[in-house]
Amino acid sequence: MRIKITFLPVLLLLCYTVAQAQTTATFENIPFPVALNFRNDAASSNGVFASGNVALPNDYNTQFQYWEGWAISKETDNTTPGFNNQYSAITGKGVDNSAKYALCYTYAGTTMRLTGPAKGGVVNGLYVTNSTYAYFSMLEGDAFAKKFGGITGNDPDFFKLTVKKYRNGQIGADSVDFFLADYRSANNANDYIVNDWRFVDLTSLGNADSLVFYLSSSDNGTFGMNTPAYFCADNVITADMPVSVAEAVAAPAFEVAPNPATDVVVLRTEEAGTAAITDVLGRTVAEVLVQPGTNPISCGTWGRGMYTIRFRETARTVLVR
Amino acid sequence: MLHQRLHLWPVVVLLLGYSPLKAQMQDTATALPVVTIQAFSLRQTLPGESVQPFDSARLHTATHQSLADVLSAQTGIYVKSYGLGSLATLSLRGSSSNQVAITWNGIPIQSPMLGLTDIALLPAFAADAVTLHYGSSGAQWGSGAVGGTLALGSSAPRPGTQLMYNGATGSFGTQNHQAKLNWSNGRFGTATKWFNGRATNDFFYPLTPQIRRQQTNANFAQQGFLQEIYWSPRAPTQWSAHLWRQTNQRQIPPLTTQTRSLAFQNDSVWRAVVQGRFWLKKHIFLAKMAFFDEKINYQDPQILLVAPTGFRTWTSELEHKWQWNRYFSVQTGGQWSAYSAFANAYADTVREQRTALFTNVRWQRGRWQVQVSTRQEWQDGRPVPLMPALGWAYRPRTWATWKGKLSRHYRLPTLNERYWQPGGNPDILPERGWSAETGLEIRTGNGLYAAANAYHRYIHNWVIWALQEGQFFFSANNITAVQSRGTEHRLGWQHHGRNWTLDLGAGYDYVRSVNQIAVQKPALPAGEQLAYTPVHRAFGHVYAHWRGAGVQWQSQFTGAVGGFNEDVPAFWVHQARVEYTVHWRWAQGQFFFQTNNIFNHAYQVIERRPMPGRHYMIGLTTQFFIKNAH
Repeated sequence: MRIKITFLPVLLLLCYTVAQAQTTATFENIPFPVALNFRNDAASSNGVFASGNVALPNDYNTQFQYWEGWAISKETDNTTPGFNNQYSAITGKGVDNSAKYALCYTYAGTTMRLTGPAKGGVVNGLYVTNSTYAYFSMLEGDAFAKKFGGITGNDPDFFKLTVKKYRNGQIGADSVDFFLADYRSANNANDYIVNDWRFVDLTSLGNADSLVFYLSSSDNGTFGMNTPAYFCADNVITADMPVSVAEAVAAPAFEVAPNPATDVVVLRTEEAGTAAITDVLGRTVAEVLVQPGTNPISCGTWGRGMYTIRFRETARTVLVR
Repeated sequence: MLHQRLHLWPVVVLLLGYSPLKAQMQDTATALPVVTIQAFSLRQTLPGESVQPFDSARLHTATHQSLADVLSAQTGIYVKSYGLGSLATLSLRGSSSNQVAITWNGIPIQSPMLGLTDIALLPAFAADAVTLHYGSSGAQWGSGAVGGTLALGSSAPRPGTQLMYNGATGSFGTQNHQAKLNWSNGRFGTATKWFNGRATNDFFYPLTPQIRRQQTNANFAQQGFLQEIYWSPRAPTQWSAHLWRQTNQRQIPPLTTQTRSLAFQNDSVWRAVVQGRFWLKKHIFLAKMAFFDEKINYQDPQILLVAPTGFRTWTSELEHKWQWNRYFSVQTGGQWSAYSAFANAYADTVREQRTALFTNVRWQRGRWQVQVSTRQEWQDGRPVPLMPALGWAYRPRTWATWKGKLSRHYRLPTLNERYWQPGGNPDILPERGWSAETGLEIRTGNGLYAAANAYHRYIHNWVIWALQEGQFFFSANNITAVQSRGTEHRLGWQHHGRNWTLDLGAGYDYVRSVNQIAVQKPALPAGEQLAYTPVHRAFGHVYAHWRGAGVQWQSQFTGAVGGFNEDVPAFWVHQARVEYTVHWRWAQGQFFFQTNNIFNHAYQVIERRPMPGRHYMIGLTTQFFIKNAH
């Protein structure tokens, strides 16, 4: 007991970065104009698209009817290349077959603000994929950008998403990189262009007030990056933890490992009870009786995705691949 | 980014020809037989200007080519060709493409949307005379005449009946047919030209030393006619009307970095000019009206892009020339132009009006010719700074001429630069600056010709499509300045024997055209040579003719240039042509065979746009001429 008391302050501090609950921004709540499959103008909602606990800024030039930043889309055409299909994700749908997803056009970095209880907390991660425009540009080349791999297929091309955070007005030194396309391998069989939703774990960034997304490519010219500067995002999972509450959070009641998991995830705790597992849409996948010690839980049938395990007022997220 | 600038699309052709490049004073341009050219304008070329004329005789041997081919092979001009069957624009003395004025019968034909003309679409057959003016001549020809001016013109038919048919076939499915019917009784004349050409342009080119690829989606077709009517009801009066109709269909081939392309472009062109000329003792009056209608329908089914654009131009011009005495003449005039244009990226049909007043005062006596010119222009009522020019030529010996020119120049913003959405800036300023040049020309009685010119030009308010601070799209801005300087060297020798002719010529141009102000996006460092502006360009030819047989050899060297993504290496291109001409009373026939890129060099003029290797053309030209019975 003395040991527990000794470690209590440390554990309290650690809990500043730990979510008790989480919210997923699915963008399904964004209303669309009739007959349009996208929203590229957020002027009517204070310049942001808000979903869950994130706000996606959007710059819309009314004079030129031109936008930058974030748009929300439910475009399903994932076969037409080119600029005219700029609002489409290569998946043709959102995560878990949802209708809507976010799409980012960024030149020099675009932010995603955290709001409500997520502000100042940890962002667990989000799902990303290529836009149809960028995907086919890299796959086949277009009038401005090269076919990735080049003539021989050996060019070490890449298209990279870099995520950083802002905390208390300062940009963080750490970053998370995710390759939307990667042809750098010496073995061309390993080359790929992402064409499905992939989870990007952002917990390593720690507490954040906002995130910043940058795109970079191996294909650059006088006018800058030739690869279309678009990517798509969905299901942004934020840890809901108001700061005032966070300071009072007790030690973690349990741990889960490995994370990501494939067939089995192990829940380790010192207490008995029932753990509830829900998917990103809040649907209960399983309820498991937990004993003190190590509790293996089979997750092979859950399907790929992010899941939340709740046990005694505490939640953990686990990615199942 | 680049993808937000989807408004400039390329498009056409290739080469051969012969003959010398002779920068020379217009007054002394008599190298080859010249037919009577209808004067396009009363405006006189500044005496200090370097002028290279291509008369009908010279154009005749290049009748199956576009003007892009002719100029690339026979001049120091840098023709930016995007490939066989694709766009070609001009760069003269380090200028950008929209800083070269192109006129037809004295009226500028550049697109007011882009400020340029695709010269790959201008068949050499369509013009009876072509004149290339080197250097700035804004006081004469107005906006865009910064690097130079290319003037196309018509000539009245000779009395009698002339019928011509040209046919040629060549590599990559090339088929050309041209016909001309001229008739004149001295007071009334008509000239009809018809042309039709097509090519598949499916040549092979090396992607790497080990990989060859066949060009796809590169079909090109062109049809058109010109109808010109000349009428001289009585001696001091002359009327003429000119109609040019042309359509083009061309596919846009993929870049070397692209796997496929389905894009294509269809063009429709109407050009009409009516002019009347009256003499009254020491006075000449010229009235001219012109109407141009051009439409471009660019489509790319692969990316669901349909981008129709088009413009109309109405121009009226009045000129008066007063020959006070044998030494002194004054020419004044006014020009009014109205433009309208449409494009998906314009909010609505955009319109513009330009008004200009100009005057040229020339004095010539003995060995001196001096001319002072001025032009004042207004764009939508907004005045452009006064454009003065001073030119002179001094002939200390009969075989030598020293000449020089000092002039101000300008280029008015194009409609795209003003109204394109996003990025157009209605308040953008004209590019403007000063240029100076001087040169020495030697022409001896034994056929030797030599010339050297040096020039300097500075352009302020150079328009760049750039990403400005706080903007998230490229926009037109007056954010840099460019200094151009260089030298031009020409050497030629012609000798006419009893049954033979030998013509040798060579030229070398040195061009430094340097950005003066660093720009971030696009990345244009200060002090760096402009993209697609070769520092070195050289060319030469040998032309030998014995009785009916002729042989031609042409070579061109273009130095390395910087591109937007990679550098384009220097390249040599060589062409050869053999021809045989038969004369029979009132008929003439010529058979020719020519080989282009004879050493099969793999090269590109524009990055990622391959040019063809060795290819051939064989053809026949027939002419019948019957004089009027008296």
